[in-house]
Amino acid sequence: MKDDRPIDPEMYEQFLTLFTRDQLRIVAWIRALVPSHTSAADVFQETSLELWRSFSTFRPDADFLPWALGVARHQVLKHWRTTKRDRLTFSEEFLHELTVEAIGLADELVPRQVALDECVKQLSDRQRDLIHRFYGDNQTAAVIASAWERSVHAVYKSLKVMRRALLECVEAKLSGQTP
Amino acid sequence: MNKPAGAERVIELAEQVLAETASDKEIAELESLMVDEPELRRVYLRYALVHGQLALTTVGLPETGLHPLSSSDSLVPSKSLQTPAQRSWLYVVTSVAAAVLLVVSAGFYFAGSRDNLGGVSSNLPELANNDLATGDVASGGHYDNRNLPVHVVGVLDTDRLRSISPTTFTVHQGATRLTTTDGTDVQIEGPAMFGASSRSEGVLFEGSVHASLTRPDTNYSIQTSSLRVVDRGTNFRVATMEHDRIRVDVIDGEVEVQSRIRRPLYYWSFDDSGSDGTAESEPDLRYSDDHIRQSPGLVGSGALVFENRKDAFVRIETGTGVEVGTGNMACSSGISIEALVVCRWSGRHMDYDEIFRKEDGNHRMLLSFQNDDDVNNFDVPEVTPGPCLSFGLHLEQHGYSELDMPLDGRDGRPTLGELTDGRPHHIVAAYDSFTGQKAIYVDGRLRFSHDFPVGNLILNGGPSPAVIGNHRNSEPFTGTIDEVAFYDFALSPDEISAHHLRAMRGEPYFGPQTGPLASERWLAITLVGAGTSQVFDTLTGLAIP
Repeated sequence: MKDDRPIDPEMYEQFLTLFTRDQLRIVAWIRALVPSHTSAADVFQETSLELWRSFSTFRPDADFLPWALGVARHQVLKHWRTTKRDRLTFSEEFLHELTVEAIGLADELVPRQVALDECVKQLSDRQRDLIHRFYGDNQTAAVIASAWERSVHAVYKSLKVMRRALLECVEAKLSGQTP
Repeated sequence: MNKPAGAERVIELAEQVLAETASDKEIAELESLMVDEPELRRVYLRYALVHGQLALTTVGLPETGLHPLSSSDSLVPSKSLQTPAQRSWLYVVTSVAAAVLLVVSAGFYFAGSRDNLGGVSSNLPELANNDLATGDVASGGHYDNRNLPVHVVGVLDTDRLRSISPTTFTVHQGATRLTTTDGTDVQIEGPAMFGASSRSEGVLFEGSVHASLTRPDTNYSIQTSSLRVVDRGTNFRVATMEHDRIRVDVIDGEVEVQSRIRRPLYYWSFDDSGSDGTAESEPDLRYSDDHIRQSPGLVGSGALVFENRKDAFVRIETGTGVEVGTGNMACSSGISIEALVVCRWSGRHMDYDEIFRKEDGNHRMLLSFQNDDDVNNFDVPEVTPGPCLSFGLHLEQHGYSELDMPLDGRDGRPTLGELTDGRPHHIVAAYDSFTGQKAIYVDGRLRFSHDFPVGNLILNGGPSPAVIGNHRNSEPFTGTIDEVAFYDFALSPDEISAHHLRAMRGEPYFGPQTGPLASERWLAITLVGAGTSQVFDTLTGLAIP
């Protein structure tokens, strides 16, 4: 598909500045709604391109992130519509509601990420290794299980225990407590 | 944190969603919890956000210098980012930044690229990491290996992926081609879900599959819930339809459509000196000398009495294979283990009583009484520690887990006292990949179950013989065991109820009108010839005009 718009260098620079600043937040937001790494990567890619295509509709006095999440929301919904046999099968109506609610988290993304980084520092070496493998290297639970000589189930349990502890920790930090 | 009511359950279910193991039932429950509760929706989203943001922590993005930016941070040029070897988020955002630059500078629409798998689900097996060597056999019965070699069933036609273990593919769109190690080309046409269960057989859960043989000395069959389509040197397609129907199209040669014979693979009634007529040739039962008494049968003339002696067991010296995924007891799409027992288990902490076990490392299957505080974290779903009846099985994508039914009398479950009341009880453990349900039935009724996603194949079988009444001289049964049956499919609730009623009348599970047990697992219904199509009802096996 050909895009015949003339390129406005100023607009391009503005877009790239805003996009680059917020892209990781958009990534995190998408992955919260599309748990699979590879699917989320595809949705992010589509979102990024759609953001540029729609950038002319962005009001310069508005916040970029909520606008970008609005665009991402449509790509998330499109993803779930086209992958009906995938694991997550919320009804379409509910997904609409959920993703609207998720846009409301835009203001929380930065403080939560900062708190999460702090909380991760408190984890054991083993748990940090798990993050490195599962989230950094995108190793599957089976591969990690093999490396750790544990069962796949045990790896999933470790992920679960860690994520729950991190949620508690993040909430505590955001509420001013010191976990 | 003050959590709203229901938050714990929402987080529990959210975890299943993040692990991509949530069943349809769990998804529905999660939605019903959140639909009218905005606070619970936020609980869910904040928990999911932990998952989303973990990849962007300093641990998740190591050695890059990239970090989440605060709102005051300025532009970080994408060209300064390093590209890691794997497709981490850093790679993704770098690629996307490059793509956006391309859009801007060249004015082209850059379609989102996909990897070599096209529309195949990301829930793929660990293709590149299985060291699959068919000749690499655990020797001497030693099994202390969490990753026993599994049977190689095929090679994806990409350069990157060389071999796979038995697994289920979800193809969202387009066609994906699989070549079995026997040379059969299998094309899965999305949207579809297809399990590659062995090199000569696949399981079609949904969608359409086209199989084409390239070597005359091989064969290939496609199984659905109750029907199987077997090639006769041919080129054919099988597609699921609504209302439990399938369509068979034969392009070349002919195929035979078969209906499942719903009889056990093995059936031990213990009426004679060790074994009875069986589905296969006479299975060899090896008794541990004189430590097992034979008593009048709960059904028929004989049953086995175990006195909690560590050296008492009955070993089944048949059904084994050279590796996981092979042998007659290697099931893929479903399984049932059935027994009639008089149980005198103590229920004490760390006391195990084994009914049936085939120990192939992490690919074991078992049906046993346990009270071990879930020491190995195997319970799925998680249950409160205490006396339980456990059904262990290894499922692809999930690994080994146990359905631990608490003997607490709640929600229709039996109590320990109920099961140890001195009377015979009929027990069935079943798993059905077509529904995803793993279940335990007691006395003809469903008592406890867990729903896995549809389409997860079983990974079991291998070199270790199955044992009745003990495990490694440490888990001896106390009581009587009779009428043990093993099936390579999931019995239906109606069948289980019927078996229970017959057993309580002192009759075998199968009436005389059902005919003798036979080794055949499938019954030929009809042949479908080249250039023709035929629709079948999968429940009745009848051809639909």
